[in-house]
Amino acid sequence: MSIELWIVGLLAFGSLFFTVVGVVGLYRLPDIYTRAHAVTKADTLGAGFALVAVAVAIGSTSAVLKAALLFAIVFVANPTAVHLLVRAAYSRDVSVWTTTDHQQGEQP
Amino acid sequence: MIVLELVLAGFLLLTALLVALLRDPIEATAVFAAFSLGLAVVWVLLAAPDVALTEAAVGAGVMVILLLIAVARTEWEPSTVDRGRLSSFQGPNPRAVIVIAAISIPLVYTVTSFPDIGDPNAPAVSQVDPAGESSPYHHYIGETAQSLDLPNSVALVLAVFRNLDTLGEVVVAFTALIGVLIVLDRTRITAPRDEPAVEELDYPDPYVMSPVGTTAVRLVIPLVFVFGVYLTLHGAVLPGGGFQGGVVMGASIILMALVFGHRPTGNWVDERLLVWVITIGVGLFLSIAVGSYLIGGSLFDVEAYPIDTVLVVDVLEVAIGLLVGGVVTALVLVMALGPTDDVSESAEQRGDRP
Repeated sequence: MSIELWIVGLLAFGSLFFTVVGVVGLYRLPDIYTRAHAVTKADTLGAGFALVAVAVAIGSTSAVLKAALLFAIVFVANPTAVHLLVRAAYSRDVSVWTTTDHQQGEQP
Repeated sequence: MIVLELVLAGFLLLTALLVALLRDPIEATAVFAAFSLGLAVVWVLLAAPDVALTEAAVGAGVMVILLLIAVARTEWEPSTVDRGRLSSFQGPNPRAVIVIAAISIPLVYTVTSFPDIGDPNAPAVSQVDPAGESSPYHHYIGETAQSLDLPNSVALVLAVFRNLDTLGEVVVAFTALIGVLIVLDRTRITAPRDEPAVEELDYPDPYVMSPVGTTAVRLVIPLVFVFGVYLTLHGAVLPGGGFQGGVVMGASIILMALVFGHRPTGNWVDERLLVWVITIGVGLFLSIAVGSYLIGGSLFDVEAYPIDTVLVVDVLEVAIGLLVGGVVTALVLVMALGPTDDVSESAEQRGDRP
């Protein structure tokens, strides 16, 4: 196997790893703030690694440029959108999960 | 590729069912956006990037915003009981299931008898029409189409083979917006230009003013808008065109309205300006259509003009782009702003809300 294939495989695995982490976080974490934390980081990195993998796999200049542009857009748009979501939730007084919620056994 | 298609088909089926079965309108809208994005990927797989662009911009973008505006402007019971996943899921009505099954089983059965994609023996490619030698394939994609010298066959169908169809679409979009303006009684459209169309805010803005959001949007909007112009101008030679470019241009203004608030944005691009843009679009389209008749060709004959056909189609695409961009922006802004005399009333309503 060529070294390029290994790099692509590794990057694709990284993408998959962060996406799975994001999904697990979205499913397991208790409130919108912690979920947003899991999803933003995982999504940006997941999509980012996938795009780098695509750029390496195809290798042509136009593919690399397009992947770089997409990476820039995802890098800006994704965290911004989640930031606005969380800010809206906070301004509408969506309650923050605390350890006392956990001890009382309440669903947030 | 087969695995990807199957996964996508399953995803689309699941999201479509959820849209129908979720009772919370906001949850259903979110799932609808996911459905639309999945569908856009399907269009790319089917080698239809034009449709994919439209699906992503209209389905996942503008439609979702219009639905959210509709939710925000109507009254509904938010599901406050349980903030768990898909809390508003509700089983279907059994009678509805029977009706849907009666419709969809014959449809699915028909689909199985379709020829494969790209099958050279498919009737659309191989069969000759009764009048002559031209199969639909030769007419729309093959020799007849290539003799017209327009590189993008979608633009060819749009501007040459089915130009009356396109005219109909243009007029329908125009009429839809005029209808919305009349229903919402936006009579300020006739007010003098120096008077702002939208009243100043006399209550706290419901929008979340966020420096992060405004900075990011300032960064992104010029790129998005220029991409819309690019799509419009390259419609004759590349995937894209007036419909796609117009929606992308409109989406950039809508993005601004989402982050900076619809009232400041509505004051800046007010509906009088937008109606002008739309009217110029329709007028340009109609004058191309009638102009070819006046200079001796038949009605809507893009080849009658003494200049390159690609240029004529470019003008048509620009006309469509102006119209679609204006209609999309105006629909969202006008529906978000509501009826003209609604301002004081909505201020009271919003004051009650936590």
